[in-house]
Amino acid sequence: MRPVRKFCSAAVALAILTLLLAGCWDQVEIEDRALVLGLSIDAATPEEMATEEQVTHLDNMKLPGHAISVTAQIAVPGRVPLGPGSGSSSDGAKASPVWVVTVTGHTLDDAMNNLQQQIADPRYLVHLRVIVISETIARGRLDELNDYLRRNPEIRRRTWLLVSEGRASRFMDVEPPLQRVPTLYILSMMEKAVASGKFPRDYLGRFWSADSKWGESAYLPYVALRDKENILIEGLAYFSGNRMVNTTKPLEIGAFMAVQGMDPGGYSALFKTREYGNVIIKTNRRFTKTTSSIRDGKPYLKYELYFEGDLDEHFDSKKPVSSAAALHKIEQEFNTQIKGVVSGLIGRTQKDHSDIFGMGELIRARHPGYWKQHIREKKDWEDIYSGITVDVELHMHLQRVGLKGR
Amino acid sequence: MNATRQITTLRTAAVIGSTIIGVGILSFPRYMAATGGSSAPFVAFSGIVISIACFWLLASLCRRFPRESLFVFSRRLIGKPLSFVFAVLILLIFVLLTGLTARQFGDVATTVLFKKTPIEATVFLMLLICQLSSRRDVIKFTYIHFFYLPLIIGPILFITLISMRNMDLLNLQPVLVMPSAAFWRGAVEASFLFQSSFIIVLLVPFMQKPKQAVRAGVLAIAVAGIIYLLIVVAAIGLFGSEETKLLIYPTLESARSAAVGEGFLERLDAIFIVLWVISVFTTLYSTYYLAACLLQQVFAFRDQRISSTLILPFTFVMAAFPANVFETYTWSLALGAASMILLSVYLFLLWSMYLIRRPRKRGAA
Repeated sequence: MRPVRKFCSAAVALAILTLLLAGCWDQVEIEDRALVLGLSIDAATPEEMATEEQVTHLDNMKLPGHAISVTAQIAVPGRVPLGPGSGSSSDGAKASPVWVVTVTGHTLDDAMNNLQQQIADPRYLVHLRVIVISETIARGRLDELNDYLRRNPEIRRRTWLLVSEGRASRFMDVEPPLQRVPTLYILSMMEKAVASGKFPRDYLGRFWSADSKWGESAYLPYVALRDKENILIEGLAYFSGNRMVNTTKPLEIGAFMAVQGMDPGGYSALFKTREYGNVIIKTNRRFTKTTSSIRDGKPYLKYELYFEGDLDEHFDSKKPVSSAAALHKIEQEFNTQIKGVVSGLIGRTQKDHSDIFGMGELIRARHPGYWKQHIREKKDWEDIYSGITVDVELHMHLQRVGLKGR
Repeated sequence: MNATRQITTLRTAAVIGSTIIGVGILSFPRYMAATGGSSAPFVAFSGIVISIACFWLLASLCRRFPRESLFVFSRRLIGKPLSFVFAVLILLIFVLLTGLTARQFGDVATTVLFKKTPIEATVFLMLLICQLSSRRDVIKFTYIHFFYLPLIIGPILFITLISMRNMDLLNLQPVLVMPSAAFWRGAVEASFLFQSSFIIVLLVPFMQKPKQAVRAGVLAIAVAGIIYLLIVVAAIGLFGSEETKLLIYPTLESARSAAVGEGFLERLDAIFIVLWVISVFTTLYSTYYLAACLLQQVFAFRDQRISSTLILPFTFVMAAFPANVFETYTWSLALGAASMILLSVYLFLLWSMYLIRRPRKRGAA
C-alpha cells in the first residue's frame, strides 16, 4: 500500500511540474515587439493635426491647444547589426535597421496610443535611450511630458533628453556613417561627450531631480544638426519654472562644468595675452571650492575654481614661452579673461531666473534658517537668485607645454 | 528538552531581521522624505530608536517567562477573558497585515513585473506558499528565514551602495532638523515597519538561551535599521527630497538608475525586484505564521496546521479589499497606528500586572 501511495503522489507532483516546462504564459517573443529606440517630439502644425486619429478621444472634446507630432524610431528585428563587419554586403546597407513612424497627438501618451493603433506589434519603451524635443516644445509646457515619462515604468532614468535647434524629427532621419542605428549614434555621442569632459552627466533622471528641487533649475543638452548628418552639442538649454528660457554657447558648457567642479576638463580656451600673443589652454582637471554666507539678509556665494591645464598652442608672438615665469603670466591672463566668461554665464542665468548651478541648494543645505524664512516654493528662489552676489575666482595651474621646448 | 530548545540567538536575530525587511523598502524613502525633507535619514533613525524601545519592552517581558509564549503567560497575568480578547484582536491585526502586505506586493508586481498576470493570481500564489510553509514547525520556520536572510541583505546592500556612488551629499543636508509634529509622525510611521518584530513571542519558548531574546532582537532591528537607513540615504542622496516625494517606489527607482561600469551592468531593478519578492515572502511568512499560531491558541487546536488553512481565505479577501493603491497605503498606515496602540496597551497592562504580582510570585517560588 505504502509504495503505491508514494508512487501516485510522485506521479501527480511530476505531472504538475511538467506544466512549468511550458514557460511564461504571457511571453512575447522579441520579434513580436516593436522596440522604440528613439523618440522625437515636435510641435504639430494645424495641417498635421488635421490628420490626427481619434484613438484616445473624439473630435468633440475640448483639449489644450498645443499639439505634438511624435516621430519614433522602431528597431526592425533581425536588421539591427550586432557588431561590426556585417555591413559589407550591399543589401545590408539598403535595408534600414529602423523603421521611422510619425504620429500626432495632444500629449505624448495620446500620440503613443495613436502609434500603437498603426503598428501591429505591441510597442515597448524599455530600450528607449534618446528623446529629442524641439525648442518650441521645451519653451512650452513640459509637465505633461514629464508626467507620462515618470509614470511609465518602462522608461529608464538614464535616458537622454535632448533639446534640438529646429525640428527634432530630423534627428530621427540622420544616417551617420559611424553607427547603423541613428539613435545609438546620438547615444554614443552623448556618452563619449560625458567621458571626455565635454558635457555633464545630465540624464533624464538628473533633469527631473533638478526640476523638482527648489534651489536648482534644470538644464538639458542643446543639440543642432550641421550638414544634415552631423550632430553638434551646441550648449545648454536652461530652464526656469519648467520652461526653457535660453541657451548657452559650447564654451559656456565648460564654464558651467568648471563652476560645478566636474572632471575631467574637456574644453580648451583660446585667448589673447598681452606679451605672448595668442594661446590655447587645455583644461585637464577642475576642482571647485564654494563658500557661502548671508550678508545683509542676502545670500552671498564665492566660487574658487582651480584648474590644471596644459599649454596646447601658442602663436602670433616672437616671445617664446620657455620659463616658469612665462607660464605664470599666461596663467594670470587666463584667470582674468576666463573669469569674464564664467561670470558672464552666471550673470545671464541670473537675468533669466535660472539657477542651473544649484546655488539655492547650497543655501538650503548650509543656511536652513534663511531658507525656511524666505522660500515657500521653487519660484521664490528663482526670484531671489537674480539679485544675489556671486564672486568667482580662477586659479589655473599650467603643468606641461607639450613636446616643444621654446 | 534539547529537542525543543534549538533556536540559537543568531538564528532568532535572522528571523526578526528578515521579517522586518519586507514590502516597505520600496516606498519607505517617500514617507521619510515627505515628513523630514533632506533630514529624512534622521527621521528614519528616530523611528528605529522608537522601535528598539518598544521591542525592548516586549522582549524583556517575554524573557521573564522563558517557558511559555506570550499568550500563555498573559492568561496568568491579566486573566483568561482579557487575554482572550487581546489574542483575538492581535490575530485580527496580523490577518489584516498579511492581507495588506500581500496586496502591496501584488500591486508592485503588476505595475512593474507581470503586466498581464491578474493581481489575484500573484497574491494568491504568494499566500498559498506562505500557507504551505506555515504547516512546518517553528524550528523549520527559523531555518527558512536563516537561509533567506543573506540572499536578502547581501544584494540589497550591493545595489544600494552602487546607487550611492552617484549621490549628491548636498541633498542630505541639513542632516538634523528641529523635531516637529510632522517629524514625529514620520518617526512613528517608520517604526510601524518594525512591528513585525513581534514574532519574537513565538520564538522565546524555543530559544536555547531565552535570556538573550532582547539582544537578538536589538541586533536584528539594528541590522534591518541600517539597511532601511541606507536605502533612505541612497534615495534622498540620489534624487533629492522633492523628487523622492514624487516617486511612488523611490527605492526601485534608485535601483533602476544604478549602473556598474557605465552601462556594463544596467537595470539592476530586475535583480532588485527578485530579491524584494524573497524579502516579501519572508515577511509574509512570519505574519502568516503568527496569525496561524494565534488562531491555534484562540481555538486551542493541537497545532497550527489546520489554522493556517483556515486563515488563507481571510487574508486573500483582505488583500482584495482596497480599491486602489492609495487606499492600500492609507489602510496600512491606519493598521500600523492601530496595532501600535493595541500593542502598547497590551504591553502596558501586562507589565503593570507583572510588576504588581511579582513579589508574591517570588515568595511562592
